[in-house]
Amino acid sequence: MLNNPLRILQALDGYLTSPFELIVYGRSALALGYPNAPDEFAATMDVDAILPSKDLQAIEENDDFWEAQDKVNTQFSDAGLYFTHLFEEKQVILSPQWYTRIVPLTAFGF
Amino acid sequence: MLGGTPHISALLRKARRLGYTTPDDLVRLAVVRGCRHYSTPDYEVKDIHECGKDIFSDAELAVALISGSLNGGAQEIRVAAQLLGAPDLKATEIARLAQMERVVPIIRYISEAGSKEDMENREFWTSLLARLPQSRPIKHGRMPHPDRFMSKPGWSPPSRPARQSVWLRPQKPVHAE
Repeated sequence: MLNNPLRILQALDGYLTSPFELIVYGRSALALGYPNAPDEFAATMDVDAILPSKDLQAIEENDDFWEAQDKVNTQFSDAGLYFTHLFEEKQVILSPQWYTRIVPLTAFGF
Repeated sequence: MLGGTPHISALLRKARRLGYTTPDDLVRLAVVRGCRHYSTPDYEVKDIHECGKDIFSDAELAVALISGSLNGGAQEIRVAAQLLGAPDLKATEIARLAQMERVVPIIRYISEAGSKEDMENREFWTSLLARLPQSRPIKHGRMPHPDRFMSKPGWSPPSRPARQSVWLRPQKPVHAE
């Protein structure tokens, strides 16, 4: 089965011209961050991500990221995949120390 | 709020980068593009920059109006409904934008109203509904009544021809001098 989150993130990685820390959230995180995740997680049509509040202004001004995001959505338009569900940390339910517990996805060469 | 979780909208960021920083700026752009029903005396065409539909399409503008109205702006939703009634929009593009911007329930509400009330464009509304994923209905009373998407004739004497209700559509765009 095709891993849609991986397709989206590999495409994003290819379009970015400078490093960007993206915190993947939801089914995509389950599909990529855990061994033997159910196939249905890999079939999700999008990638959700959390943007830390402390970085928000810098991200708003980061044209490289937004242009890469736009290119990803254009690339996958026909496939129905998309990458637009970005949440500021206060818009989702997180534990108080969530940022210290994020786990890098090292297996994919991003 | 209309029952959804807000998110950081890439579409609204695009609008901001084009100079449309508030929901009112988006309404004014829609007025320039023919939604004159929502013009007010203080609106001046020259006050708003028309970036061009090739840069920011009517579909993007309609969805941005809805995305920017998640705090409950009925006016923006009504303007979006009028834009969506334009004859040249593609249901596939709007359905995709609706999912990407997490506004499916509102687009669905407008489309359901259109499929019942806008006979002239019924095929479009039905096509759009078929492309939208299922979503939880919006609580009663949170959205403008479908009548607000239409021009309804007032009373006229029986001797006069009966006038029909019509879905509001954009008229010929206004151009600044």
